[in-house]
Amino acid sequence: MTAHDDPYENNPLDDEALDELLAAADLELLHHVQRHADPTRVLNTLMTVDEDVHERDHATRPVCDHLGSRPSKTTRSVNGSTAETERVPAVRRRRRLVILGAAAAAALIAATSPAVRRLAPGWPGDHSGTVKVSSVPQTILPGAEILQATNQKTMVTAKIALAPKTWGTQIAIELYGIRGPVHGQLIVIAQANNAEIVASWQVPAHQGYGMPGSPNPLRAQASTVFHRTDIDRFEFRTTTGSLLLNVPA
Amino acid sequence: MTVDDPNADVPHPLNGLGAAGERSRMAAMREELLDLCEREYAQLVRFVMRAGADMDQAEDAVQDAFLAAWRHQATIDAWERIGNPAAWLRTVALHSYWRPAGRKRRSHTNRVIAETLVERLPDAAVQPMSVDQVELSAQAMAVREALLALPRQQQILMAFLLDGFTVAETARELDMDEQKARDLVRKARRTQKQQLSSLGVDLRQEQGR
Repeated sequence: MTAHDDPYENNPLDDEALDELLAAADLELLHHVQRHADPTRVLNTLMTVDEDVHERDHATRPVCDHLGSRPSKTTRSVNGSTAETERVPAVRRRRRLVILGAAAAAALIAATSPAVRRLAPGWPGDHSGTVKVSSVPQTILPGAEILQATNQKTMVTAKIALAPKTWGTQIAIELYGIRGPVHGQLIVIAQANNAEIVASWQVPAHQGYGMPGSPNPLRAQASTVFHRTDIDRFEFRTTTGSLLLNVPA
Repeated sequence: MTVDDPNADVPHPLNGLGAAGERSRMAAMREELLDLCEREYAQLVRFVMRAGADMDQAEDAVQDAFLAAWRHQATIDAWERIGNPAAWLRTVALHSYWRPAGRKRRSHTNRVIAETLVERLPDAAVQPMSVDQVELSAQAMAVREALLALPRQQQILMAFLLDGFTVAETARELDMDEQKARDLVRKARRTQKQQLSSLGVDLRQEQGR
């Protein structure tokens, strides 16, 4: 311990110097962590944990028992189970919804062979007078069925590409007329009133997609466990519940 | 083209849907948790390192904390009852780190090798250098050691304050009397001012004070 052996040799620091020293060392430690630590493992684990296998009684421990010298048994029990036991088969995994920024989407589209690109005729034009939609709409799902709709109130337009899979349905969306700040979700509603959120996104204030000055649509990919024939409709909503657009399937 | 609308007033599809609605609620919460993980991961790892963990241990502890959070989300209302998720994750990660060695889920391979090597040495005089020790400046190491030398309560209080939590928030999270927390922080700072005074001399010299 530096300086601990003879603490009185130097004058103690003042508050300002201590804060400065702590902040500098702490920032250095953060940079060090950022260089080496990687959240991917945790993200992957969280993405593959299946909620159905959770033991509900695990979660009832008080958060912080005390700060005694040793952790208590109750403290330990909450962390008892392992990520490995909670892994589930790939089919049951719910994929993290990858919200693609315009650049990432462009890269993906570029990577898709022209042969499998599909141009969808009838992609909405300038019906709103404000939304300038792409003249060359593209979807990254080959051979996909295309749905599209516009809500005349919110002026949100969506194009949804659907590809039936054995495990469910793959989904790609393009959204126009999205003006930030907005935190939105795509909800798939299946028959028998089953529903799930399959994508979410956030657009900061003063930004938008498919709008004058920002013509690129918001592109995202998602997937759902529901089969195409079971899907009744799609709803785009804000996280507070307001309906942005309803797309019958 | 389908032109939408009369649906503007349809009830939210996730309300009152029983099992399906519950799944959707959890999907939304999990998204929130993933965002939190992406945003705060490095800070959380650093937080556990302030309590003495090396980076591998800290990452394990942080993973445990996120899994515990997910278990909370799987329990009705448990997650909602957590007032301050960022502080809660830190506390749970710390508890995970403090678990006795025998209960550790797994050890990082490198650590096992290092420990084995040390055991074989005639005395433990030669400690393998961790990547943390190699890369951090002497100043950063000294500050970290000074923090570690504090009694545990003071150490954890300081670690929370360094992450931007207020004394009141920290006291609430640690279930501690706020005045007691303030006293402990004062005490910790007094100790650190003494311990780090030699660094302060360097600092003052560097800045031409």
